[in-house]
Amino acid sequence: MNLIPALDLFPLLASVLVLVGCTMLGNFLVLRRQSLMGDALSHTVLPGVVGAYLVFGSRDPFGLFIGALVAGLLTVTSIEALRRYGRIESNAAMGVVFSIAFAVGVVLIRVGHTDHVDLDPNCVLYGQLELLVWFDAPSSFRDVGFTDVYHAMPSSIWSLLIMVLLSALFVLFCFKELRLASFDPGLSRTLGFSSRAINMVLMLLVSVATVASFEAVGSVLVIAALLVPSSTARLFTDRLKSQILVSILVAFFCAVSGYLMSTWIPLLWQGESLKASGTITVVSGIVFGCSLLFSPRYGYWMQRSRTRQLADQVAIEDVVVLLHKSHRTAVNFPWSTIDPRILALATKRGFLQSPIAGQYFLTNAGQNLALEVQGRRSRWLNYLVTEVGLAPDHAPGTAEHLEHLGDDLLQKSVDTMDDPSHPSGECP
Amino acid sequence: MSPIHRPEHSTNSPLSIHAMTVAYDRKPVLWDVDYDAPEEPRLIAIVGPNGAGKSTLIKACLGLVPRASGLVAFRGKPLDDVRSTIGYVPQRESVDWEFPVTALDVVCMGRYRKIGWFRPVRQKDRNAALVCLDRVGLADLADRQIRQLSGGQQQRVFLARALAQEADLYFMDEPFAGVDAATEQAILGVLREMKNEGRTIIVVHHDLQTVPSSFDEVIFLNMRVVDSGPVAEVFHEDNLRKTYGGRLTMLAEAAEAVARSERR
Repeated sequence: MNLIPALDLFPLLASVLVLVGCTMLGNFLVLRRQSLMGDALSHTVLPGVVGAYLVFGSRDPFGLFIGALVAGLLTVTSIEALRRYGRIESNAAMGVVFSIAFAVGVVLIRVGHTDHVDLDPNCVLYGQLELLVWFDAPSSFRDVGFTDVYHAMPSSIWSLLIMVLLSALFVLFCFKELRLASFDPGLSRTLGFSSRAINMVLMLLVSVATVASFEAVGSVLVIAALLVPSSTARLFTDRLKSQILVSILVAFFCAVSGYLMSTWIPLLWQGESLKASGTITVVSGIVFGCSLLFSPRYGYWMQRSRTRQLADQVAIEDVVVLLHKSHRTAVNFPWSTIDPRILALATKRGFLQSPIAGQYFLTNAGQNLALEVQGRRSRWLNYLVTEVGLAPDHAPGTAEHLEHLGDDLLQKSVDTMDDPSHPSGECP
Repeated sequence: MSPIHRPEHSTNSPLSIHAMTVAYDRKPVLWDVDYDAPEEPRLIAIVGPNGAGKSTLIKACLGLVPRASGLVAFRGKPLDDVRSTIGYVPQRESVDWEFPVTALDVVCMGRYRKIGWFRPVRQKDRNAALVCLDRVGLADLADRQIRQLSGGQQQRVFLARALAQEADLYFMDEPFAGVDAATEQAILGVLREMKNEGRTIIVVHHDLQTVPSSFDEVIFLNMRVVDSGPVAEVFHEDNLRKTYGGRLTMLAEAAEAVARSERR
């Protein structure tokens, strides 16, 4: 069983090009909070293609490409005009323009319908990545409007290659201009870097990217390709350069693994063939979901475990201090009131030992920790009363909260003062 | 381009505004503004009530909002001839502080015009930016993502970026907004240094109390220039009333009208 048939090379290459090319530009859409623009442009491809067919009267791929591009540019300019002169918020402007444009496309299909035109709405949604290799089956290539697979296949690979090259050049050479215009358009303009011009070029390239990709993968994956890998990368880094690099890696991984899934799954289950655009989008979604949970920087899991670690540390310090005091005053220690997990954790970290089950004693390390925490507490107490001006009877409660803070700055201000022998240094 | 010829305005003034009117949606925000900044370096405050058009004045000078009429000249030249000598510090809220850049990246932006189109930021530029960050006391935080900075620190990053522009004339939109007294003094110290280096700095300012101690000149603005000049000469009760009073009286009348209608 050959898992990567040679015939898959072109569609696989096409998926990689779509994902990588769109992602590079998508980073800036996400950062500029113009994510909906990808949505808008992928929808206006339809009226563009239909319009071009009606104008040129042929299904020549180049003509359709131009039609879709013109539609994309009209979309961008009319959204900008609506936003500026129609005084409509930009998301609303995008929604208004692309939904109407899409509807115009749907109507045009009907109006211009003749026997030899067959535009299938399914293809608008899913594209036809798989058909890139069906040299022998031109009869099944009725959907998006190209007469001849043999001609269409190379042309879409070529247009994708050009799209990726243009996007890469733009991001590479205008990196600093894009960063400035996206972060601070006002300063960008006063420095003479017209943020409008940069924005227009970006939108032009997003148009090219959606049109070139659309043919192969359909409107759903175009939106995903623009937005999902770049949003994923956002979870991993705080630097623009590394964000773009991470997003490209994510895009590459999603394209390859998603495409392979679409060929493997039917082999494994003897099922019908899967749409690669669908599996790639699903894989992107899974990668995004996992990153959201497990990213070392902004993942939910790490943030939670960081909070948890801090909470554990605080709980351990409290137990140790409590135990330290109870030794002095010889009170029967209320073990049942303390979370057994914290006791186990403190034992594991060497602050407690438990020679008899259910009975704990402070180790030397535990003694030291207790003294350290109490020292910190009394220094805070002194600081709060003398420097902050808290009432002495209010200060202990606040100090108990603050004693766990290892905050360097505050610690510095506290430690610079003489160690106090404050009368109320010992907490109740 | 030849210098703008306007006999009534000095071609040596770092900023001269002639008969400038700005309108949003046909409703004028600034009426017929005429102003000449002194030739010598000065710290100039623009004061006025909310909605007086303070930010708009700055933005119109910089070509960020269209002018309905009037002329703006910088030492007798139009903006496009002198862009590299004009610095701008926008309001802090005008940018997205979640943006994935470091403090140093932001300061480097001040040098983009010197670097020029399509060229990358080089180590030399980063070093220069670091010097500017150091001047505002933030060299330690150069590699911080900007979200991790406090409001006052963000404001100082903007100031460092302005320093990196090495301009002759600066427009600053509320550089003291939301900073504590210590930071305000630190920023003011840097502004004074900049002035002593021969730069003119025009600041949109909100705190009337600090105007006499902090600034050399003041522009009273309320949709028109009420008065302008050295603080010692023009910062007095009369101008304050003219600038702020109109609205206060109107508001007071409105409040009275509401009170009357409720009594019935």
